[in-house]
Order: sequence, then structure tokens, then C-alpha cells
Amino acid sequence: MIDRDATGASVDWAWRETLAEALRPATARLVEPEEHGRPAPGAGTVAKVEVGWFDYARRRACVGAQGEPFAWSARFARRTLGLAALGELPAVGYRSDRALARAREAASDSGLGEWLATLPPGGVEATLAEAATWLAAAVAVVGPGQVAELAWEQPGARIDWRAPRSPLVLSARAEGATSDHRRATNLGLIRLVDHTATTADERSEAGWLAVLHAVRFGVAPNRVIVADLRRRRRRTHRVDDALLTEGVAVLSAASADAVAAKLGDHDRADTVLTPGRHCRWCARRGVCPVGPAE
Amino acid sequence: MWAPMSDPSPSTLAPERSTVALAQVLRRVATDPPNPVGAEDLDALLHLLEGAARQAVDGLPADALPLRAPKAAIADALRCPRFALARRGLPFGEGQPDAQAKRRRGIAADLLVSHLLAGGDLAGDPRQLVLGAWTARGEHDELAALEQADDAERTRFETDCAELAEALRADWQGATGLVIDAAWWPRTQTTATLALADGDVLVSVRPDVELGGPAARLPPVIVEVKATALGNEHTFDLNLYALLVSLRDGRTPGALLHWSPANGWVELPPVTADVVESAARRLADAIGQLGALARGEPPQERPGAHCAWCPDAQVCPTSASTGRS
Repeated sequence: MIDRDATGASVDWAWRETLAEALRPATARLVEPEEHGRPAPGAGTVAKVEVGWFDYARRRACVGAQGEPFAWSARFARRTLGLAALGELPAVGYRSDRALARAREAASDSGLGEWLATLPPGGVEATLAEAATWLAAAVAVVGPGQVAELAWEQPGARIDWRAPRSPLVLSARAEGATSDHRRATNLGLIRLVDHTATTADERSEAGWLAVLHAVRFGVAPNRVIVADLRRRRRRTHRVDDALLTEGVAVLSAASADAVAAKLGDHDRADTVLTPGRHCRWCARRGVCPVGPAE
Repeated sequence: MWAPMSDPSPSTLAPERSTVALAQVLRRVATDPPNPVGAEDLDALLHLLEGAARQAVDGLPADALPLRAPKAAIADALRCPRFALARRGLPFGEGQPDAQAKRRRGIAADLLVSHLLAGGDLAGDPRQLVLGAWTARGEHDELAALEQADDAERTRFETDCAELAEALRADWQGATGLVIDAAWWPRTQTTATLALADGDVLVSVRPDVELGGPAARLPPVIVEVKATALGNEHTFDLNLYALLVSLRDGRTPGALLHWSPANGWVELPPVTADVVESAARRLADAIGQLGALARGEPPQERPGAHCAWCPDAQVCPTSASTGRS
């Protein structure tokens, strides 16, 4: 499906069709059959089902795991501010303090800016300290000489795609690219991660991102570069049909899982819950019948 | 072994006392950095640790992997494997009130340093600055624990914050502001993770402060911030950080510094091949002990000062605190 001999990127929606087909079992559960007056057994009517890598990874650890509703914290803000600052660095002589000041100013009209404005004394500095740490690690792993050569996404760094005629919204994260993804010649997408993943999970997430880029923009990237901020290690995953096929399979499994969670499949009494390290981030830890791991 | 850069008496916190020394260290590292440990030496240490890690996870079931070795677990395992096992999984807030107060003081020191480096000064009520940092970081357990503390504990926390802030202003700020220039890219609570045995062993440390490094294009400098006086274990902590930062960045730090209100700035000996090798051998020992604990082997008992705050002290046959050792 990928023609790597082409001199320029050409738009190809084949992967969109492939993914839509793979998602059909999951999306079918969310759509009321038109020919009947009432939902089919097991079907539900929901406004939106979000499918993201982190929720999928969380539920693979324990099917009952649930994330906290999103609320800004220094931990979330560090990536947003740090990423914005990354793009500002060349313009401020590679001074992190100035780049972060610009990033903060740029965020003033956003939800992040509103949250920063509500913080008590010491809160903004704690957030900026986290962002400074993130930024230094990002520059170190990318390479100071490479920062200006790359395109950095602002500020959400998300690729969203809604499955056709469905409330299923699939999303991926990409912090940067080796060129403007709208021209997309020899395109490399960059993930900056500050968690430690296994090689298999890293490849799965790379396939996930590559597929969503292909279905959203009609162009598959040539490679996905995963930069691990904690280990200062970069690994390049070449995007070929095998990786994209794996990506479709993972997206399909994650969508089925997200739909099952949304429709309450995992809330039955016979659901097997798996305590572990992930319990500390689970919104249900206070009411879990199994309880946090020792 | 240590070389205090100035009079360690806390009663002599004149602005010139430590800030001059810190500025001198940074200037020296920037202009005349020590020779870093060679890449071949670092590769040999990595090989040593790989061997220890593979041995440690040999036979471990998949659900016990990855074997995680954060700094606290490493330090505990080196002190006493039974102590490490007893402390593992201790819920938040457990432990004697005095230990909680010390822990809270240590966190306050870290947060005030973060504030100083990010904001450039420590203006305002230092206790409020710590509470504000906890709020931003979503540390609801810390806020709730302080809320539920009695008057004496809250007063102690307020006093600790004030004392730490005074010492930080004296030692980290000069007449024109923060002694550390922004060109050093000062940052706090950084992470250095080392994955061994194909990711089955994860060693991770979080140095309190890092300066320089690849982003700043300056040799790295590591600072350990302690609310209590310098102890022998802090030397190992810093050498362990030096090892992991070296393996992460491919370059050994140009200086290791310890700061506490009691001692001010103290510079540790240069990071040589011997220093990182010693840290690597101790780390290999700790990984082996943690692997044995994960396999459910009976933990070794090594009595010492740590018995005083070991949860198993009353039942351990070799505990120093029971007088039966």
C-alpha cells in the first residue's frame, strides 16, 4: 500500500478504509440499527467514545482501571509548556528561562493559562520547574543542534480521527515531525515520552500513531521516532505495511475495549480485576473490591 | 574525605559564605572541566550491571517483571534486605510522627529549591510556597495530612519551612540574585533511568538538581539537597546519580555538590573511574538483593542505625534496636 519510490508524498486513503472496516464490530455496538425501533442487544447509544493509547494501556493492566477526569496539574502542564518552549528556543538564543516565559505567555488565553492564574503562591513556579526539567530532557534527547531543524506541534500535539458515522474518536500523540506534515516528504513523526515502555509497546504505539496520521491526513509517515526522555534514547520505527497492519490491529482492539468499557461490560460482578502498580493512578482505587496491590 | 567549602556552622549564614564557593565551582567546571571517564570504562560498567540484572531476574515469573529499582529501594537493600522488604509498600503517612516530620521537611527543601530556581527568589511566606507547589502538583495526600496534623506538627512544619528558606536565600542567592546563571539550565527532580536485561530491570534515580548537561552544552553538575546534615549515605546517593547520569548522557559530571542548611555547600571528590565503578558494584549488589526478595527468598539481615526506624525492628532477631544483635 505504501509507494516509497514516489518522489513526493501522495494522498492515499486506503488505510482509512482498512481501519474503518476493522473498527466495524466496535462501532456497530454504538449505533442503533435504523431498521428497528429499538437498540439491538448489546448496543448502546453514546455521544462519544474516546480511544487513546494511555486508556488502552491502563485497561490492559486491569480491565476495571479508570483514569481520573482530566484536570490540569503541573505534571500535565510540563509537557504543554515544555513543548511550546521547545519551538521558541531558537528565537531566544536557546535560553530555557526565556523560552518558558514565552510559552507561559502564549498559554495565557487557554485553559492552561486560566488554571495557572488560579494557583496559590508557589504553584506557578512549581509548574515552571517541572516544565524546565521536561524541556532540558527533550533538548538533550533530540540534540541541541536538531531543535531548530524539526517542526514542533503546538500545543495539544494530538491527532484525532472520528470513525465514519460513529461516536468513536481515536487519538494519538505526536510532539514533532522531521518536516511539515502537510508536505510530508520523507516524513518522520516524533514522540517524546517520559515513561518507560517495553519495546513491544513502543512499537505498538508507533503503529497506532502512523495509522492515525495516515487516516487523518492521507499520508503515512516514513518513520516514527520515539525519544525516551528518561533514558535519553531514540529508537526509529520504520513505517511499512507490517507496522501499519499491526497498528490497525491495536487500534481495533483498543476500540473494542473502549466500547466495552463505555457500555459497562467491565463492571459485571464476574470481571477479573488485576491489582498492581497501576492502582495508584486509578480513579476507582477507593471503591475497588480487590483493592490496591500491596 | 569531604571538603566543606566553608564554615559549616549554621549560625554563620552570611550571603558571601557559600554563594562565592558555588560560583567558583561552576566557573571552574565551565572553563576547566575535569577529564570525563572514558566511554570504554562506562561500557564495562554497563556490562557489569547487565550481568547482575540478568542474574537477578533469572527465574522470576513474568508478573514480577519488570524489577523496579528506584533509589530508595537500592539504598534500603544495601542497608539491609529485610529492612527493604519491611519498608516496601508502607502506605502513605505510615511511620512514626517524627519520621513523617523529617520526610515533610525534606520535601519542603526540594520544593523550595525548585521555586528558587524557577522563580529566581523566595519572596513570600515559604510555608505558603510549599502548599502552593503541592496544590499545583496535585499532592492531595500531603495537603490532607498536614490539614489533619496537630498544632505541634503544623508549627514544626512552619518553622522548618522558614529555616530552610533563610538558609537557601543565604547560600543560593547573592547580591544580584540567584548565583546559578540561566545558561546552566537549572532544573529539579530530573530522572535518569537505566533499563537492563532487555527492560526486565529498571533502575531509576531523581537527582534533586541538575545543571549543565547536553541541553546547556556545559558539563553536568549534580546537586543533592538535604534538609538534614551531610551523612555517609549521601555520598553514595550522589555517586549513584553520577553513575546513572553518566550512562544516560555518556558523560560523567564535572562536579557533585551537596547542600544542606547545616553544612552549606560541600563538594564531593571528582567523579573518577574508581568512583563510578564503586557505585556500579554497590548497585549490582542491590539489584541482586532485590531480585532475591522478588523470588521470595528469606531476606538477609544487616543490623545498623536503620534498625531504629525499621518496621520489623521489634520482631527481627538481629535488630540493633532490640539489643539482641
